[in-house]
Amino acid sequence: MDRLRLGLGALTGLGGGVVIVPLLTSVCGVDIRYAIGASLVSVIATSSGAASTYIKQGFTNLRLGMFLEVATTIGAFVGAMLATVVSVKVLTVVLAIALLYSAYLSQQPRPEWSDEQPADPLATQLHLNGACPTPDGLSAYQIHSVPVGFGIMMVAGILSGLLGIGSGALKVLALDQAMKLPFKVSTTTSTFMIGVTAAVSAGVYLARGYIDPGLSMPVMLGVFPGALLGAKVLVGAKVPVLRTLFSLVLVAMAFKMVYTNLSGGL
Amino acid sequence: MLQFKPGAMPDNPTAQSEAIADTLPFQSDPPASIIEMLTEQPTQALVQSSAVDEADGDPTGANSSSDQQLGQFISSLLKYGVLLASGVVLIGGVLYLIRHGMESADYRLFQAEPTALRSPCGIVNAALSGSRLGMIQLGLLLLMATPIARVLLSLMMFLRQRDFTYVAVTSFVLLVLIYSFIGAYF
Repeated sequence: MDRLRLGLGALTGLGGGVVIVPLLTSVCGVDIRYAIGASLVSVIATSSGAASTYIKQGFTNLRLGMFLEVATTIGAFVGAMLATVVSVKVLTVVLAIALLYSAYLSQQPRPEWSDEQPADPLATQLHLNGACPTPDGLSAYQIHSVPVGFGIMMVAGILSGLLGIGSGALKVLALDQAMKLPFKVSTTTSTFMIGVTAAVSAGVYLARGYIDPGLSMPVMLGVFPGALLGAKVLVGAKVPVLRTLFSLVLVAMAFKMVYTNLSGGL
Repeated sequence: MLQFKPGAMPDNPTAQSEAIADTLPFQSDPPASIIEMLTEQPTQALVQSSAVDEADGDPTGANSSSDQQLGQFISSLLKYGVLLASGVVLIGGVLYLIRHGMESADYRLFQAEPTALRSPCGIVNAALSGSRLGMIQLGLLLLMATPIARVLLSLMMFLRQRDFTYVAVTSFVLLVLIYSFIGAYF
């Protein structure tokens, strides 16, 4: 069973925290409150570890991440507070629909660089625009639709607080689709933000007694092999492959959650 | 269904520790080849805003080198924070399994954790008094403290830069973080 949970953790490192809550509840029969606590812990570990590597590689946009953390932390706090009030069943279905929709969106073709449009003036004012490494050297990019991105981030924070997930998929949606960042900047900046978002929820859940040391320990230690694999894959992968893989993970997550929900696991 | 099986943990705790440490993504610097593959000039990689700031005619070009420095600090802080937290959790976990590994734990029924394992002060006290669960929980608390320390570090860097927009941004995030941990006790 410890091996199973270590394996679960490894999967989290690969697929994000959203995998762990359905698996712990439906496969292991763990109460969802313990599952949320353990998931948050593993999310912080994965995010911090991977972010450390990504920052060194120069993809992460630190200022953008810190600015959008205002939205995600407010959202996470509200979400964690709401967790006892809102029916998780209803929310799971809504989230599954949102995931399917974002999988559909990420399959829509769009140019990798969209510099022809002017940047959002707000982005320039806040020094959010950045540059990221490409095979041809450093390439500057512009940021669009800051208010829309900020809004989606708040929703991502609420879902993160409610379900104990990193909401990485929704964060990438905001950065990639709304704000038009290069895909690798989106995924790494999202990873950078997840640690702080999850820490807010974790604080609320810790005070409520949802964080169980015996369950969190193997889940947390298991994330590292998976995170290592995930980081290696991201750095080496071609962008279209990454995008397709990402969509497949989203679809799988959505179906898994609906199935778990309908079979009464939640 | 969900039980602690001590047999699943290797007999030699240090071997386990080394095995996990070997697989940590940030245990050693990323292979130089990967960085070189991505960018011919790795030192440029961290210069996030210089190109754009200059293109915009922005006078804050000086920010870029301190942003680069901030990135390096944050990267190291996250790495050592997670390593420290994992180490404490691992030691606490091994000690816990040595004594309680044969007992089965049932997570199907939710009972909130004891008060001692719910507040930062309670956890530190529990760990200091030799509680093995307290020690795991202390490691988890250190893990949660890592992003908080990252925000605090960013706040101090922005204060030094006199970048008051980002001082406000990081202060707000820090307040929400702190409130989430201690808000329940007021």
